Amino acid sequence: MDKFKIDVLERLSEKMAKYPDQNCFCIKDKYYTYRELSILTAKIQQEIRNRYTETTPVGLVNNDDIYTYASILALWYEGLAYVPLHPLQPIARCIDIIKQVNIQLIIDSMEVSRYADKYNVLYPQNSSNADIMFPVINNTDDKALCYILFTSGSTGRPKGVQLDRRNVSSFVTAFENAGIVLSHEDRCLQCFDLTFDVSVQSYLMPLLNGACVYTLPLDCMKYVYSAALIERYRITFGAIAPSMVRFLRPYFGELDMSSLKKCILTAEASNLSLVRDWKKCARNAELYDFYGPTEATIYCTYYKLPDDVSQIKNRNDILYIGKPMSGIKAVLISPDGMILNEGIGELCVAGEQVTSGYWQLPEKNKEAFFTMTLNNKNYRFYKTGDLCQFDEDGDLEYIGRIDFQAKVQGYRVELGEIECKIREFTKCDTVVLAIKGDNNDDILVGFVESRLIDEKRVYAYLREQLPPYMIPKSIICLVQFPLNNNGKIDRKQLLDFFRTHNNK
Amino acid sequence: MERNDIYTSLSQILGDIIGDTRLNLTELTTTDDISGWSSLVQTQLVIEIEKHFNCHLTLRDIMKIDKNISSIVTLIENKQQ
Repeated sequence: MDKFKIDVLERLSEKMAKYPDQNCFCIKDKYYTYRELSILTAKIQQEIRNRYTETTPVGLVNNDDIYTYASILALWYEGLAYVPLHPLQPIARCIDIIKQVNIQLIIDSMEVSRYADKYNVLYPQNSSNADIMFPVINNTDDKALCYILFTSGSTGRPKGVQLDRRNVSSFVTAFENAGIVLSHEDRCLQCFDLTFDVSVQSYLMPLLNGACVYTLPLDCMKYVYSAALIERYRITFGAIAPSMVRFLRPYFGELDMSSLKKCILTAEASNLSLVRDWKKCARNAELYDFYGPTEATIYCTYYKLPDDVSQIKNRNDILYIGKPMSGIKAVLISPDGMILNEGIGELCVAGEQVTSGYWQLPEKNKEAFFTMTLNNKNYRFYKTGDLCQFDEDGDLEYIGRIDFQAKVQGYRVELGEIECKIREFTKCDTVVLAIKGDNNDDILVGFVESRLIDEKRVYAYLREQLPPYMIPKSIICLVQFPLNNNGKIDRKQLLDFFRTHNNK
Repeated sequence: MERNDIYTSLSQILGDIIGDTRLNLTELTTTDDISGWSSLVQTQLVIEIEKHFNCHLTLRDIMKIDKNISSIVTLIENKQQ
C-alpha cells in the first residue's frame, strides 16, 4: 500500500540528500540545485499544510518556473494531487475545470494571479521563511490521487482523467523495466506543458535519478527551443513528439544532436522515413517509440528501434508500438467485445497503471472500461480507441484510431494506407480525413504539408496504387499543419479548414 | 530595403496571419503586445518571411528571435545584406 512512498517520495528525498549541490532544474538558463529544490518543496509543503485542510485536489497554474515544479512535489509529499491549469488557455475553460473538481485552493506563482479575485490562491514564491531543509512524507495511501489531467471530451466539455499514486509508481517501475534507466549525470529535456502527461515522465524520471531537467518556456516554438537546449546543454535524454522532429527536418544538416543518448518519440504515430532521417541526425541516440493514453499513465507499450533501420517494423510507413510494458495486459477486441486471437481489433489495456476512471463521469466510465476474467484472473480493461494487430513476435502494429476508420461505398477504408501512398509520391507529410457526407458515406480529403504539389500527377499515381473508392475527393496543400497544445497535428483544425475551403 | 520598409512589410505579413489589418509594428513592439501571438503564429511567420523576402532562415537564425519584434527586423536586415 505504500509503493508510491517507497518508489517515488523516499527515492526523491534520498536524491535531494545525496546530491545537494547537483543541479536538478535549468529553467530559463538558470540552474537550481537539489538543495534549493528540497528547501523550496519543504517550505511550500508547510504553507499548504497551514492553509489547507481539505483533501480535494489543488489547482496548479503551470508556469515555467521552479515554484511550480516544487509545488507539485510539495503536494505529493503532503498527500495531495494537482490539477494543472494552463496560464495561456481561456479562463472559461480553466474555471470549468475548477468547478468540475470543486477546487478549493489554487497555487499560482504569477505576481498577481488571474484567480485572485474569486479563489483562494497560494503564491509559492511567498512561502514561509521557516528554517526547514527537507519535505516530510505525510500520506502513504496509494489510493490517493497524484494528478488529474483534463482532455478534450467528445461532448465539448473537457473530461478529467484521475491518476493515483499506485498508477504513477507502477509507471515508474515499468518505465525502468523497459530499459530507460537514467543516472545523476544525465541532462534531460522537458518540452511538454504540464497539462499533458508526458511532462510527468519528463520531470519525474530525471529527478528520481538525481539528473537535471531542462524546461521550455510556455508557448515558445517548441522545436526551435528544444533543439537549442539540446545543443547548448548537451542534453542526453528526451521525449519528443514526431511533429517536432518533422519541423526540425529541414535543419538536420545544421544541427548537432550528438549528445543525445536516448530519445523517445511519443504523443502521436511516428513515420518511418522521418525516423530514418532523425536517426542519422541524432546518430548516438537509441530511439524508442512509446505509446500510451493518459488513462494508462503516460505509456503502456514501447518499441525499441533496431540500429539497422531496414529492420524497423512499420505498417504503411507508421512505426509499430511494440510490446506492452511490464505489468500491462494488452488484448485486442472485436466490435462486439470478443477477444481476438488474430487480426485487427481495438487495443484494450489492463494493469496497475490504468486509471480508476474519469472524474465524476460514471456513464463515461461504463463506456470506456470493462472487466473480464482471463486464465482465472480478473482484469479491468480500458478501451483505447486505437486499432492494432499483433505480429508473430508479439509486437503491436498500430493501424490508427477507430474514429479514423472510414466507410466508403460500403468498403472499410484504412486512412493510413492512403496517407502512406500520398506521402510516398509527394515526399511530404500527409493527413487523410474522413468527413461524413450525405447518405452517411464518408468523403475522403487529403492534406499535404507543402506549398504546391502537382495534383494531377498525385491523382494519377493514386489511381495506379489504390482502388477508386480510396481516392480522396480533394487534396489540399497547407504550408504548415496546425498543431495542438500537445504538439500533435490538430485534425479538428484541418477539418475546419476543409469546411471553410469547401464553402468558399 | 530600409528598416522602416521592413517594419511595414512585416506588419502586413503578420497582420494577415493573425487577421489584424491595422497592425502597426514598431521598434518598441514586443510579442506581448500582439493579440493572438502564439508559437504557431511564429512558425507561420518564419515561412512567410522566407517567401516574402526571398531568403532562407537557418535554425540558428530562428533561435535569435526573441520577444522584441526588432530582433526579427534585424534578422531580415542582415539577410538582405
